[in-house]
Amino acid sequence: MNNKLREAIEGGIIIPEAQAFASAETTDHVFSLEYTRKTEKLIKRQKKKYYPLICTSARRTACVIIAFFVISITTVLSVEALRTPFFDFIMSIFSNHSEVRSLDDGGNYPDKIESYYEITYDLSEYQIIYSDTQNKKTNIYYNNGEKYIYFTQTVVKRYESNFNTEGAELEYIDINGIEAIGYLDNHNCYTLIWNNGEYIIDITSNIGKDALIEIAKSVQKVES
Amino acid sequence: MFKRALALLITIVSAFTLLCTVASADDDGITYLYTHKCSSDLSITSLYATCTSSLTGYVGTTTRIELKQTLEETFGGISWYYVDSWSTAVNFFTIDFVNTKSPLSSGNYRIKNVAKVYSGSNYETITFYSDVVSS
Repeated sequence: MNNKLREAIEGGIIIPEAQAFASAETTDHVFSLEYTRKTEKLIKRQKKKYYPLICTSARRTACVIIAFFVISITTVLSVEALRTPFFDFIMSIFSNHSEVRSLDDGGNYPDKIESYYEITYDLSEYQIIYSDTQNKKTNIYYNNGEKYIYFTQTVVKRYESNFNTEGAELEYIDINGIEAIGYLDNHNCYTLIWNNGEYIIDITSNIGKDALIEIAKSVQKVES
Repeated sequence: MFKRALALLITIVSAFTLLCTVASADDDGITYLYTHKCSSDLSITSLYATCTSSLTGYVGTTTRIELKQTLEETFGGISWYYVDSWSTAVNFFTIDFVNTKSPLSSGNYRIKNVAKVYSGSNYETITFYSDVVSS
């Protein structure tokens, strides 16, 4: 390229373009009021000591943990029996049954049946149709025509039993100063379950709630 | 502001959805048409296991109970493996079934019970478990 051509390109194209860029850089730009306000707010926030905690991945992690915690708490509170343990055992309520289990290391209880409890109410009109004694449980079932009464005494430690509570509403019933769980099931049978301080007693009958409560109050330790 | 409100709403909806799922969950097909109560207990002493299962129906309703009791062992608590099983049947409204097994190897065991509870020709199938016990 000869010198004349070079001078022509520099003078006609390059220098004017360069001058145009230079003038653009020196032009004063005015930011809007809103932009300025937002920028100042951001700068102020960044200067806070807690900013690195709340505007980083730590915030996201904390959100996940809090959400999980809230969900867990909500789930626990939704299961009624988990909020209502009573006297060393707990009742978990499901849609069609309830699970009664003793709490871990639930107190100072015998490991096996060492003394016997029985209904002392006059049941002379009933016949015993089933009686079974095991290491950890005794059953005595009575029958009089269409009426029947189930009586069970069970060791407290590692107690676990599933009861038909479909559609039933649980209530607390006082049995000789002890709080028992009572409910009417979908076979019109009323059940009472309580811890008498030594064993878990449950009795069930179709003779009606009030009559069963009277029978439950007659449960006493008898000679082995 | 809108993003925060949306995030909060999503959290609440997620929590509610999970709550409904847990609240409606039932345990292992326990239906209780003809069953009043059932329980199972596993006791292990010096590698000697006593397996007890009980089920009571309703007098005048429950006519027959067929019960299969299976002793299972787990390694890690995820899968369960067969150890031994026993079966019985009674034409009665209640059953207490006791079996023993020895010697056991050291490990974690439970009893799985599958019961067919009849009322005439109709029946329901109930599955229930004992607690897990270490030998």
